[in-house]
Amino acid sequence: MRCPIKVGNEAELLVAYTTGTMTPAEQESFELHMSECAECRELAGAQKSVWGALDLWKLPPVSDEFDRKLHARIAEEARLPWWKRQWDTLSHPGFWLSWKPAIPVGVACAALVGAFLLHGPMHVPMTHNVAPAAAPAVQSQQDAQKMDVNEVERALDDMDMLKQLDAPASAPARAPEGS
Amino acid sequence: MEYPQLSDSARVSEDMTALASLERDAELMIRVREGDETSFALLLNRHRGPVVHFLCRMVQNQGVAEELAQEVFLRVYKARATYEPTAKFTTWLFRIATHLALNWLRDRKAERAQDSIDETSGDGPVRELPDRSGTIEQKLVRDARLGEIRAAIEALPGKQRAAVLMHKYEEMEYVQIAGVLGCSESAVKSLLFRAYETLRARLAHLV
Repeated sequence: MRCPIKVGNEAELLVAYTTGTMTPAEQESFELHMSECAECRELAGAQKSVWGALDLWKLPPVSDEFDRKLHARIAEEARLPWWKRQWDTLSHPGFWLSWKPAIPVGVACAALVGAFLLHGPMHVPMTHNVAPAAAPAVQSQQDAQKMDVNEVERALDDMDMLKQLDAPASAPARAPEGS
Repeated sequence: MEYPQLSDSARVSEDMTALASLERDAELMIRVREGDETSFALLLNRHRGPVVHFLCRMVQNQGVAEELAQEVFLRVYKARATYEPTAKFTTWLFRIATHLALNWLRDRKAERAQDSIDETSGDGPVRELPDRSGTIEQKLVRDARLGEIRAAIEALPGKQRAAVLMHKYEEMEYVQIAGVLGCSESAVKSLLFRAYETLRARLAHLV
């Protein structure tokens, strides 16, 4: 057997050795190795000491009041209104953690829907829909501009006409001065 | 040649007993789901001791351990309607217990950080089984050893502590501890080996 410390599996072997979960062949092989390896022998001794030390920690039996207190809590729980019990369930982190595997799928779906709404085919017709609605307005604006130009032209023509009407009256009046 | 054969048959017998026990737990819990209160009493009777003792070693306070254990069984009872025997009952039970204990330790640590004056107030240390044998000197030595063991366990990080207690006192296998702690089997081994290494450094001189 190669030295478990050099192989790097000494921790697992030591635990298996002290808990007695080695097969008889493994145990025999390990014990043979320990007879030649002081380091492994020391480690195994220390692990056995820890195992034995932990055995010293005995605890007293559960108190007699345990069941009575538990049943009192269960009865108290049963007396709560249904909405309070539901709220307790919903507000408990465990309830939401139980949905943990579904969260990435939900987030992915939400992202897909968002992307579809922003860049999907629904978005394109919206711009097309705007154009026909805006067209009459643009047309009326162009018409209004045309009307304005026409009116200005007409006003200028009227002014020219008025000037021409005034001109023959004043021209003969000046003629005698030049003559 | 006889030894391995005896060992194998003993293992098969143990496995069969364990399997029967597991099936019995699931069966009892299904009956609880159907409204059978007697089955809940049987489950309580079977698992009360291990859960309280595990919690007692985790939080090192008998009173707190019993309160947390009551919370564990209350949660089991409340979850009876939705119970499905997908995992071992004891894995589920100890998962709740470990979760509560780790939360309690975290809150306790925060409290201690906030107010160190309360550290020694009426918290009540864990009670050990009184041993009336031996002289006063032997009793003093025993108490000192127990103090060292408790201190060494208390010094371990929460998950290492839970892993060691389940491995040592509840005799759980790596795979079941992994189920309780919600990690891989190799992570459990790593937790355990680090914990035992720490304990070897602190407790090897005791025995």
